[in-house]
Amino acid sequence: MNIRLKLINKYISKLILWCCILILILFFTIPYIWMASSAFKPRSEIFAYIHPLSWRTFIPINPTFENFRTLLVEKGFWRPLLNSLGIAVTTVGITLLVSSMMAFALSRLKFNGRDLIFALVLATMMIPFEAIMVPMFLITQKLGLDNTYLGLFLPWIGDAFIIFLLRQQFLEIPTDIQDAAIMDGCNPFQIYWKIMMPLIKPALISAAFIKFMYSWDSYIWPLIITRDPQKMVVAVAIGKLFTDQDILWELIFAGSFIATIPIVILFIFLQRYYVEGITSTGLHGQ
Amino acid sequence: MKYINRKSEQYFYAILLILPALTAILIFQIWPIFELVHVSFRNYSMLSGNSKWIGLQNYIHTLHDPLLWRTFYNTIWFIFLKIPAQMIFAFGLALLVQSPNRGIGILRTIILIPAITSMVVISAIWGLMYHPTNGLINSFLELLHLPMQPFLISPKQAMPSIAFMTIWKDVGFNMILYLAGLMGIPSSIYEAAKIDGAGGIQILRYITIPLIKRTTIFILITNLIMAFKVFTPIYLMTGGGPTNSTRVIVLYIYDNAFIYNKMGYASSISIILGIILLIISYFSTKEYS
Repeated sequence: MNIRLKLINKYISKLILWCCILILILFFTIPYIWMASSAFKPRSEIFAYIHPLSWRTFIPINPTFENFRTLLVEKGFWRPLLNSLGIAVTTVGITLLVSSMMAFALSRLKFNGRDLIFALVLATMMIPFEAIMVPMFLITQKLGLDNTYLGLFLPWIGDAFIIFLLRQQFLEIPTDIQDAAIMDGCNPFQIYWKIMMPLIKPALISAAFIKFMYSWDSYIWPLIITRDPQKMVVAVAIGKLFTDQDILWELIFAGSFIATIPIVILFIFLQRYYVEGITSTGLHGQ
Repeated sequence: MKYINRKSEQYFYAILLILPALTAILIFQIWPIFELVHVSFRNYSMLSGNSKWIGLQNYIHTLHDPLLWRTFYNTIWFIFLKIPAQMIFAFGLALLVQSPNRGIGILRTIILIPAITSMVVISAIWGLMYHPTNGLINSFLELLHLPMQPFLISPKQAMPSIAFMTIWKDVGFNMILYLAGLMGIPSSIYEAAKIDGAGGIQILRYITIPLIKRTTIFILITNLIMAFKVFTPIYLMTGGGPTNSTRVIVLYIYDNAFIYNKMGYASSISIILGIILLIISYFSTKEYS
């Protein structure tokens, strides 16, 4: 009797646990399911099945690519997509290069003022972008970089968080390796590029993924620095669809779908690196 | 420890390696601080290019601007709605997701997806979900036979609606930090407590919560800094309305600088915001060094 009661108890608590998990999964995925299915629905179908709520709300009955065609071809959404992709790839490449160079020098070379420069880099981590966006804009304008591609990414290449993260990695490499390379006649640049960089690959992947997302998602800076629609990035383009007088729901869904799905797929593969990146620096993508 | 030898060569390479990143940091991080202070004492118009020294006038104006005080109140209201709920939720999720189970691994990935999705996309989708007549959430309420709600167009509900959405987005990020904290607790402590006859709730109350206090403080500080800087969801979903009920500090800086063309006043508000955030980060470094 007692054993049976215990068994029933165990099953009930298991059941409750799985119900909780199911509710949580739905809570976090429903907006995505709604977005993805509506992206493939004609406009009339989106509104026809919103209420009452049913499976038709979440599954397109007559799936169509029309929304994507309208968005990419007629609204010229391909342009912001290419802009964002190009800017994100460039930002990641240049940031990783210059930040790893600095991280290497700050951890592996000895010179006067090293600690001072490192302290300066650490101090910039505390400067909130939102508090300096006005003077950053004024300076970028003074340098003639407003409304240019350069102005969109150049301010972000000296990334203190990435310098900090990579410096930690360089410090963990045993000095023997460096000494051996010196014996073999390598100069510091060769040590950095040929020997040290391959050894910190996992950290470079973390940094690259976090920086890519940061660039892809960035909104305020592109919003204030570019006026030319030709140089618009994807976040600003979606924001514009949403704040326009006449809200075209189906295009918002399609645009959000295109902007989100590649990142989500990339994340599923690179999840481990992302988690390592944010737990070792306490830094979030935004 | 043996470093690379010849001194002048050492300096040559150090400069070569440091210069690109350092230049970017000096131009786009350090110079703006000086520029910010400089502009905050001026009446700076971007249109005419006029810039006149007006002393402390911008700062004096901040004291007499009721809308500015409203933005501070709104930001703190946002923080109050968001942070405690988000941290409790994240802690619960971390406890749930901690166990190494295949199904739960999928849940962990799913919870993180909003955290890596662009805030603009989330604001747009949730903006449609909150739509008073055609929104998904009202359809859901209808299904449960609950009254429909106005959400973003109501001065009372707009801020809680936005706060709820940002909890949905950011909870995964807090959960990951909590998970890292939980993994730092040695399992021997749990075993000892079990041998002493402690139950699940007692273990939570007397072992887990006290031992992750540092993690909790770290998460709290990070959340505070992020919440003070909230801009994108509010700019997109309500634009500060209805009747200024969601106008927050950064939105007010943005409007003053780029809509009303008052760069000087925007700079003086930025300095106030910067000082608040520096004080918060100062506590975080104190906690962590």
